[in-house]
Amino acid sequence: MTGPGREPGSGGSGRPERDGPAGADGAGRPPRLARWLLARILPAADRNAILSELDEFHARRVRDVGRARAWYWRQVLSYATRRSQLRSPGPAHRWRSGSGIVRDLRWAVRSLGRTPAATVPAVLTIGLALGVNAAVFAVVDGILLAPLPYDDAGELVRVWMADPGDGADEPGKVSGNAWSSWNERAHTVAGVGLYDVWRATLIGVGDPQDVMVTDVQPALLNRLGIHTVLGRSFAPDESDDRTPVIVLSHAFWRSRLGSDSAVVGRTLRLAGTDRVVIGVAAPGFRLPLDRDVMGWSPFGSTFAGPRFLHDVPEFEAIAWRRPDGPGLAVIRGELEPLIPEPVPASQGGYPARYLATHVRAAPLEDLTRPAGSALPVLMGAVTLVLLLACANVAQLLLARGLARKQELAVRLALGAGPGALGRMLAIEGAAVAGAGALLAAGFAQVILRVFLSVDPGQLPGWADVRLTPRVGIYLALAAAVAAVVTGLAPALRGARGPSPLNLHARGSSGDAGSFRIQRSLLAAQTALTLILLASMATLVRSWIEVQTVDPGFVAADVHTARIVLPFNRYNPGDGALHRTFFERLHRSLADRPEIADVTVATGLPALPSLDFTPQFRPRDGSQPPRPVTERLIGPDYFETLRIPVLAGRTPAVGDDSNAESVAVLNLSAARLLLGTDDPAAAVGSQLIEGSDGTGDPVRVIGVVSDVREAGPDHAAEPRIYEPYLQSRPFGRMWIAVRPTQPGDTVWAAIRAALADVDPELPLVDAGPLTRAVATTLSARRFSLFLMTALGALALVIAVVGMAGLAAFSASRFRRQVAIRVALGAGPARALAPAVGGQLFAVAAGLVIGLAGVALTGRALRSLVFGITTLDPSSVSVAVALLAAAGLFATAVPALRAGLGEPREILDG
Amino acid sequence: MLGELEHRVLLAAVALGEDAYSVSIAEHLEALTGLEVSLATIHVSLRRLEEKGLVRSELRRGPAEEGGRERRCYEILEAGRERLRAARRELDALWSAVPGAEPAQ
Repeated sequence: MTGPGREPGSGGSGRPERDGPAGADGAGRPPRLARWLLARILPAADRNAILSELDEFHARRVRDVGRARAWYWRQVLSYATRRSQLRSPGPAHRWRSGSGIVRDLRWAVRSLGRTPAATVPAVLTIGLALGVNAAVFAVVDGILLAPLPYDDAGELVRVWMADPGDGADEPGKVSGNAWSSWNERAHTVAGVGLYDVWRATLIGVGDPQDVMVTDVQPALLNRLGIHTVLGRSFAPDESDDRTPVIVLSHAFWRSRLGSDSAVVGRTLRLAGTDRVVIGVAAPGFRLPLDRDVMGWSPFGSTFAGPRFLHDVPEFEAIAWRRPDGPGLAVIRGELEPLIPEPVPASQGGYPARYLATHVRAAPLEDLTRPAGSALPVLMGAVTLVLLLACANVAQLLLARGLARKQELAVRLALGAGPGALGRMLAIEGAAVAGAGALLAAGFAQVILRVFLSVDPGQLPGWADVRLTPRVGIYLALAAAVAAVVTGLAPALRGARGPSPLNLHARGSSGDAGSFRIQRSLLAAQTALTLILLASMATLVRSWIEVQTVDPGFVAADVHTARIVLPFNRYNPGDGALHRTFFERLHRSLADRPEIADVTVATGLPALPSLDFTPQFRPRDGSQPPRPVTERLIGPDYFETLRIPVLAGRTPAVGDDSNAESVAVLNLSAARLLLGTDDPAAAVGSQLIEGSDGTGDPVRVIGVVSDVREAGPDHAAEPRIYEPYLQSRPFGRMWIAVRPTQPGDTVWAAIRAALADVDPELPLVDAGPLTRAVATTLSARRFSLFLMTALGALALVIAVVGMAGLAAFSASRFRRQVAIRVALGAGPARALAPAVGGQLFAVAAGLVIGLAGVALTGRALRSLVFGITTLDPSSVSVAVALLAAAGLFATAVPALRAGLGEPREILDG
Repeated sequence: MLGELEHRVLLAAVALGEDAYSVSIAEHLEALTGLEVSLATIHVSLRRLEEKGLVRSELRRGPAEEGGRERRCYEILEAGRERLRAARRELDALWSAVPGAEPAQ
């Protein structure tokens, strides 16, 4: 190919005049990458001149020969290899010192390569520590730091309705009536949008399956900024009324539909309704609470009628502020009075206990920041591991430096300043950290995959955790810190410089200064390791404590599932219809011979519950009103869950709407409401619901023991149980079944019993109760797993460091030791000068570490259960373990290296 | 002592006078000796010559018709000329001692 700049016949000898610049169309320009690289290589002072001179030369070359790409690259290569000989910029020394660093780096790499026995463990140690750091940071970043994937997420506010007694950190929902009023009249927010996550049976993709779907108002979805990879999102007035539609989630589309590019327009049957797929969302899009949803469908455009517009808070709500709009308090202040007056119960409305009168609001971002999370603690732990690894490697490098004392003395004698030697050793540290960082990227991938295989439970965003560019930046920063920390001690040591007089020193005891630094590093390692081991022991003990807790019920063999009555066939306004359904279902299940016990309830331990927290007080007025969590239960609730009845009786089939209103308290509720620790004394008391004392009285018929609902490591809360037969049941109830024969075969019987009542209803969230209980502990299990792994890693690093120093110092003290052996000393006495100082360093490290444990123990508070944060037995175990490891790791290599035939050593 | 390449670069710079800079020197060497030298090598040689106090340099703009680009131009110092004369004397003396040697073409 002939370049456009070529002039036929011009050859290489003549210099014909040209009209314009050669190769103005690009072929005549130097290769951009090569030129860019060259600019990086050249010293700053001459960069422009050299670049333009080479440009000129290149242009002439193109003019004469036609093309010069390869030629240009050769020129760049030539500059690269001569880089250190090029001109110094301005003040003469600066570039030369730069080239000195390059030279030192090259030298450091060569020097480290010559001693793989020291270099490989050093690089692996730093690499592993950096890898763990990057992996944990990826989790922290993905869950705690990453911004919400929405447009202007800072303006999004979660609003919900609550009672005064409700916990502020447990967001609730919003009623359709309140939304309607806010939407018409509120000025402090630009809009409020509702959504609702529900379960449905999907037909049309393989076997019928249970899926989650989110109904959402189009305005909200569009405000969040949904993007589609296929098809479209909702139109602003998208309605469910004529042709029901759905936008699929990317995950569902990929995993269940094989990324079918022709999916738009396809019809899927969902909960008995045909829905047309109109689009597929971009990867990762989801609403704050919908994990693993199949997709989003629009609420009906009118959002009217009893299905939506009633007084029970039932929908998730997100409001969006105006830019520079008012604060949360102002928004709350406007929205609260706008909640409409509820329909009285006498006119078919819901009892006041299900309603809420207050408004709460919180930044949406708070939803993704799980409070009391273990992540900051774990981040601190991996940082300690990194420091530990740095101290370890610094010590290793220092040992190498001592072993090369003669070489350094020669360099010093030849005129290298002590500063240059220090710099050289620091650069070795940096080289090790840099190599470790490269390894760490690979380690982080593997470690993160291990993390993700351990389910941490309810952490939002867990599935989206991955190694992002931010993690890469963090890794680079951590590596830079590691390089500084690692290089510091050797540099300090080198800066003092060995004495040139030591040129001929041979196997003497070495200079005391180096050993002092090495032992300080060892003490630091010991201290850091003790902190990690003590944390690990504390978590292990907490785990054991949690296992021994009696949760107050027996989960074994119990199977649970949720029944969700569809609005279209079970009108939410028709309480009698709901009650009849669950009565029939209960009877149908109880009649099955495979089923020993069965119950129905609005909630079950360890499972998401539809509980309310109204206020109660004794009818006699002896106690003030207090909030107590209320649960509606069917007959045999306590029998099925094996919750001990302490006094009185439990609700029976006869406790229906025609009988006196009854309730069962747990012991905590009896104590709180009636002020008595005696269960029998509570039975027969009457309670009034509501703070104003105008509610109907409820008679306490029994007291049961406390149940740790949220998990064995959570305290039981005061709770009141009322029979749903006397109240108004909900469209979503749990069933719990204890079979006559343990095992999964009971599911067939449960399905058959359900089909007898309503053949079109699916069983939702079906599974063993033991699994739900295990899930309540998964976050704790994850912390335990990670902290144990970190503790073990720390112990290994520390032992390697101790053993390395012991072997090294024993060999340095060989002559002294040999003389002692020759004089008849036993091994312990003979080795005392070699290892005595080291054992002292370990002991000092243990003391410093204990102080560190005392200081850091509080950080573990959220993870500790059943013991104090400074649990003496845990700390003792950690100290004993580390002391034993220190003794072992010091004595064994010292004995191996230090003790030999005295004559050989002294002659050699 | 002048290195072999330094010697040639210095000679080229003398010949080129005011126009002496890396590109012109490289072309001069290639045209007269057929020697193709990379620009980096020339730069290194020039820098050594400058360090030895034989040349001095300054940054200048090239002529506008060549694009007016920046270049580092070199001027031979008296020490440089003296070094060249001395080198030539040495070589002449050495050549003259070679029996039957004809003057080079």
